[in-house]
Amino acid sequence: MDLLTFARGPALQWALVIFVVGTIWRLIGILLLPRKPDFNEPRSTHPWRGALGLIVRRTVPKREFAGPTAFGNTIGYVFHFGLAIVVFGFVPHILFIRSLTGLHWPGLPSGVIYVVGALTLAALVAALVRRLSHPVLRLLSNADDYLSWLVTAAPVLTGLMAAAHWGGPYPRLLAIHVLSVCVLLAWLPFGKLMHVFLVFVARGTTGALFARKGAST
Amino acid sequence: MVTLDQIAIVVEEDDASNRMVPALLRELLDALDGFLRDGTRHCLDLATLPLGHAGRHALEEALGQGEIDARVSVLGSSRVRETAFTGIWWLRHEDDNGALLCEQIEVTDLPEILRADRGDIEAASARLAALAASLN
Amino acid sequence: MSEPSPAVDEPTVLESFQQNGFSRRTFLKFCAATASLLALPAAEAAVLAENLATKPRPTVIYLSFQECTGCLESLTRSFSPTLEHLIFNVVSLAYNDTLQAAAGESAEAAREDAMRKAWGKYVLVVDGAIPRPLDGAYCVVGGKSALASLQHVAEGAAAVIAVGTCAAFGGLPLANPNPTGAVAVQDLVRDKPVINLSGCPPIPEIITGSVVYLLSFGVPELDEHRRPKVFFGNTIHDRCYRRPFYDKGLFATSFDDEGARNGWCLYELGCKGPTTYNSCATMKWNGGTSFPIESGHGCLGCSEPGFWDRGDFYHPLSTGRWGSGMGEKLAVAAVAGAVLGGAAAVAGRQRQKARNDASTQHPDHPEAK
Repeated sequence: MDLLTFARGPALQWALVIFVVGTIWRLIGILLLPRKPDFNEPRSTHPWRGALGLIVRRTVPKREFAGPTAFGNTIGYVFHFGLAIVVFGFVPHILFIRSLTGLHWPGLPSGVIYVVGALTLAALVAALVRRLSHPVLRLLSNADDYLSWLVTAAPVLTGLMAAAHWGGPYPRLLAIHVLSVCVLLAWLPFGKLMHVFLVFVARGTTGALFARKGAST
Repeated sequence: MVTLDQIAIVVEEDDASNRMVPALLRELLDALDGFLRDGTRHCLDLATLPLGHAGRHALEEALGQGEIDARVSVLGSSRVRETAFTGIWWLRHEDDNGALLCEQIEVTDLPEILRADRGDIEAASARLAALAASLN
Repeated sequence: MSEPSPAVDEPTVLESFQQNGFSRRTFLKFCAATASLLALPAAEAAVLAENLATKPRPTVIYLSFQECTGCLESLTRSFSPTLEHLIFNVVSLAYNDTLQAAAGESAEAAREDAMRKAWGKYVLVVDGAIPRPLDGAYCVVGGKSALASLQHVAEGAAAVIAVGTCAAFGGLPLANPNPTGAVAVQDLVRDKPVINLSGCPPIPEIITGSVVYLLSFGVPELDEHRRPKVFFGNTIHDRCYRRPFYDKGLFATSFDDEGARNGWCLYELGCKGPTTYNSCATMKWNGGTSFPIESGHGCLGCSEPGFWDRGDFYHPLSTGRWGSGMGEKLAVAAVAGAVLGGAAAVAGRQRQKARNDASTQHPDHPEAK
C-alpha cells in the first residue's frame, strides 16, 4: 500500500473515528456535569437569548481594550476566518465533506484559496512569534498550546506545499497533507483545539447565567 | 485589504507569450552577430518555448518573409523559409500525414537540410553511372 | 556503464539510413523531430545528430512476458520517430516474438546468437510482468520460464527498458490478488540500469524517444519511479488544457451535465490527473489527435504504480477510501463516545458527592456542629 492510499484509507478512517469518539465523549462529559441549584428568582426568563447574545458579543473585542489587543485580535481574526475559507471554500475539501455527510455548496476559485491559505499561515506564524515573545503569554502557555498550534499550522503548510508541488512529487505531498489532517482530527478533541466546540458551550453557559442574573456583559 | 472579488484569476497566456517575442528577437540578433563573428550556427525549437498562439503569430509577423521558400520532401514534407532577415530561417517539419513534427528557427547561411551531402552525392553518382551504362 | 555500446560491425544510424536508401536530409529531419520530442536544448540537439551519425546501432532484444501486447500495439503507432525508422535504422532489433518473421527454435537461436555477439552491450526491452513463485512456472515461453529468460538476457544487457506499467510496476498481473505472484522488472534486475516507461499502454513516442535518447546520451535523468523526467516530469493536471476550469472552480459533476458539455474540469468525476505523471496532455495520442481528458473522461492514472488496486476511478481524489460502512462505523464511534462521556459524567458526580460528604463531616463545617 502506498502512502497516499494509506492516508486516504485507514489513516483517515481511524482519525475520523477517534475524532467522533473524542468529541462526543468530551461534550457529553461536560454537558452532564452536575450544576449547583440556583434558588434565586431569575431576572430574565430568556436564558437562551442571553446565551446566543453572548456568543455573538464576545466575538467582538471590547472597545476599552481595542488598542492594546489590536495585534493579537487581528491575527486571530485572519487565521480563524482564513481557516474557515480554506476548509469550507476549496472544492476538493467540499468534495471530501460531501463524501462524508452528503452536504455540499459552491466552492471558491483555487487562486483565492491559495492567497487566503498563505495569509492564514502568515497569521499563524505571527501568532506563534507573539506567543513566544510576549512574556505573559509565554508564561501562560503550555505544551498543549504549542502542539495545538503545530497540528493546526501543519495542514495549512502541507496543503500549500502540495498546491505548489514544492518539496517532492504531488502524490507524496498530498499524502502528507492528508496525514497532517488525520493528526489534527485525532488531537482536536483532547486539547485546547476542542474550543472549536466548547467556545459555544462556555460562552452560552456564561451568557445564560448572566441573563438569569440580569447582569450586564 | 484586497477583497476576494478583486483577486484576479489569470488564465490567458497570450499576454505573457507576447512578452516573449522581444526577448526572442534579441536572442536572434545575438545569434546573427555570432554567426557573422565566427560562423556559429544557432537553432531554436519553438516547441520548447512558452509561446502561445498569439505569441507565435506575433513572432512570425515580426520576422516576415524573405527571398527563399523551399519545400523538402523527406519523411513527409518540410518547408524551409528564409525570413525577411537574411540568415534567419523558419523550418517547419511535417510527417507523412501533414501533422507537425517540429518547428525550428535556424540562424545560418544555409540550413543543413538543404545542403546536398557528400555521401548522398556519391550515391547519386553511382546511380547515374549505372543509368548511363544501362542506356549505352 | 552509462550508455549501450554497438554490436560488432553494426553501421552507424546515419549509415543505416543511407544504406536503406534514405538521404542525409531524412536523417537530419529525423534528428530534429526526435530532439523536439525530447525537448532537448539547441546545443544537445546538435549533439544528438552528431552522436547518431557516429555511433553504431545497438542490438535490441525485446522480450514479452505477462502482457497483452497493447504496449507493442501502441509502439506500432509511433508517429515520430516511427517504428519503421526505429527498427530499421536506429536499432538492430534482434528479437521480438510478435514482429519477427522467424519463429520457434530458429528465433530462439537467433536471439542467442545476437546476445553472444553483443554480450554486455545490447539493450533489453521488457514488456509485461514476471511471475516469481514455483521458479516462474506460471509464464513459460519456448520451454523457458519468463523468470529464467529475464535473468539470462539481462545478464548480458547494458541497460533494461521496462515498457508499460506491467513491466515497470507489475501492473495488471500484480493487481490484487496477484494469483501468479507477479513482480516488476526492477524487482528482479538489480545490477543494471532499469528505465521504466509506464503507462497502459505507454505513449508510443515515449518508447521510441527513450530508445533514441539512450543510444545517443545514455540513461536519461530518472524520477523516483525510474521514469525519464523528460516525459514523466509533470502531472497530467499541471499541463491539462482544462486546468483553468479547475482554478476557476468549474467542474463537471456527471458525464452528461452542462459542465461536461462545456469541457469543465473532471476532478469531481474522479480524474487522477493531479497524481499522475505522464505526457498525455502535451504529446497526446495517435499523432497528437487527443488524449482521454480531451475525449471527456478523467485520467485513470495508468502510469502510476498500483493504479488498478486503488478502486477509485470515479471517486474524487480528495475523498477518503474506506469502501462501504463508514457511516455505521462513525455511528458506533458516536455511541462509544456518548457512553464514555456518560461514564465520565457519572464518575464526576460521584467524586463531587464524595467530596461533599467528606466536607459535611468535617468538624469545622457549620453543618457538622
